Amino acid sequence: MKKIVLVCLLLLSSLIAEEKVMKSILDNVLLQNVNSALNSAHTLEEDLKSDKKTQQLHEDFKKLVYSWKKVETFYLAADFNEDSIDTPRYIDVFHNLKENLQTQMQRVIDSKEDLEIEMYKNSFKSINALEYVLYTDGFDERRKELSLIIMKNIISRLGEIKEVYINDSKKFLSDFKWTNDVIINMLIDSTFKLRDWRVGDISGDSRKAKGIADNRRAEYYISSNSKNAIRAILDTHEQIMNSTEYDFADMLIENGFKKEVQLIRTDIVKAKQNLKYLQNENFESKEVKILYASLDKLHKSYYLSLVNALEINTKILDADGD
Amino acid sequence: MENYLGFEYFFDANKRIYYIYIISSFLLAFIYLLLNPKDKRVNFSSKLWLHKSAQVDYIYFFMVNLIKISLIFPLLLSSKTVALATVLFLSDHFGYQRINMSYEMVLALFTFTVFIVSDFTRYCLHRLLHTIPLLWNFHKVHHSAKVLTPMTFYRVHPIENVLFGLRYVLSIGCVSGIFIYFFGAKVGLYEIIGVNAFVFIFSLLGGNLRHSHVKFFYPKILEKVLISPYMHQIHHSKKHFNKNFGGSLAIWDYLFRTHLFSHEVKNIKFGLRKDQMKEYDSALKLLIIPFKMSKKATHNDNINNN
Repeated sequence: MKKIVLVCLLLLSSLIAEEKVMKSILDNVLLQNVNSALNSAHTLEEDLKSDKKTQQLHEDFKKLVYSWKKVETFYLAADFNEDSIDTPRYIDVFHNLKENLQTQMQRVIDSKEDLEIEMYKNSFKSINALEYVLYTDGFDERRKELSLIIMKNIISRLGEIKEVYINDSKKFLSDFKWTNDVIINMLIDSTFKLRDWRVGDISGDSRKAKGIADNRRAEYYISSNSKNAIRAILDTHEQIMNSTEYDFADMLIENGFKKEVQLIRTDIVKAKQNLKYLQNENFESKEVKILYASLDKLHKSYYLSLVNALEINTKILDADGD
Repeated sequence: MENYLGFEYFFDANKRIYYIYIISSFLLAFIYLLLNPKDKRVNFSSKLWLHKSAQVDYIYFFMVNLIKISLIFPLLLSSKTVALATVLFLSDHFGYQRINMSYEMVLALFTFTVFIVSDFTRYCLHRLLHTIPLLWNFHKVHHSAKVLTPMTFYRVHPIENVLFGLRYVLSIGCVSGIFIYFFGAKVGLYEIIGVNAFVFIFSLLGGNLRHSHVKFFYPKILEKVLISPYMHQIHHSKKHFNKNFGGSLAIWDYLFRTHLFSHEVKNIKFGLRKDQMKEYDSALKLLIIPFKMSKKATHNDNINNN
């Protein structure tokens, strides 16, 4: 009888701990990050409206990039509500656009047509388009108007994401197996894109780049915010795996994955330290290979944890003959 | 200590001689013998259970268990290592991919795939053990059993254990890696008391009667899909070593023309040729003789080549 009571208590405490972690992720990561991105976006919008100097606008843009990348890195809204699958693509078109956005944006800037008509494509209202508008040539009235249209879109989309997190979080807070899987999948997805899309493809270290480095492939080449974006992504991983509060990683440790969590935590710290090798946004430097290697290790550590955590009992009745 | 004696085999659902599988086989045997009373004499005879060959099986089980625990298991790769290598290989070469599918579907698909792949690789290896002379030297140990008891399942040379272990690790590791690559953390198995649901059901359907003298067979139509206990007994008969290699499923035998229905064979005699049998009459000989034979064969090959 004592044993049954003990097992029930353990199960109950484990459920309470899981609920606590998921609530904490919702409040302290998902909502906090989207709120932070909304604040950055509103600040930039206000500064645009009040004709602040370009330097200030650039500072605002840098903050927007940082806060948006944190939202994008751990974007669970698509899992909360399928209708939100495409929302990030309306904000950010990095790796999601075959056309040359810069040429197209220059055409929009040079055109004498009404902006509402010119800005007919979703990609024209993305953060990548905003980068081009804010950082190339002189910042005039037309660019300001363009920037405000873009900001309106970004704010609206971020608002949609926030709404999903507030209104559709029921499953996230109750179905822990599903929640765990969604989180782990997102972390793996993010480290792959960080390693290959945001570093390897530019430094020439990814399979796709075939050893050819080219700084122009960097995510924020024009504004030199690529390192800022990478830092935001790593900071987001730290938020989930190594925060000051009882977090997802602590829950994994309690479930017997201490070794794996320690490995990931070490890899995140190491990757952040190795950001120093990316100086002046120069991905072509040989030292960036060190950063790439640490991101590769982080990606693999996540997979290692996943493989160990899945507890797949694939035994097929002895490994004997017949 | 318990592990070294192998008693845990009776309480581990992943083992063929798990007590529930033994009970279910016993019940099936009971029904069969009620319907076929003429077979009672053989199956209840002490001559069967205390036959020299059966005694060798019992001693050999403990000996090989010791070898497996102390020498083989520590050396074998883990299927998790293979799964990780597979998923990283796919990720490096084909980028990041995810297929959206419900949990229930992924679970069902993974459980089924693991069962099918494992059974197919088992068929392939089993067939190779019969067709490659060097491997046959080792597999002969299993076929040298003159009488069949559930313990004959473990009358397998350690080298064969290593091969089956590798087969398991590689095939299941690869399947797991592929599934993790496409479905991430959703991957899991439908299990019954910790065992793949398909395997559990098959084991209940008389898995232990495969190595017995209970000629339990399925209707013909079912034997096209599943290997019945008697079909495996046919495989052990001197005349039909090259038939019915399948583990759980008969479809591989059917596809590759090595299939023999139960009703096609009436009388069976187990073991090897009379002149060979004396070389397999002790547990120690079972361990040593395959090496001697392989050495002899290599020596003869060298002479022929010179």
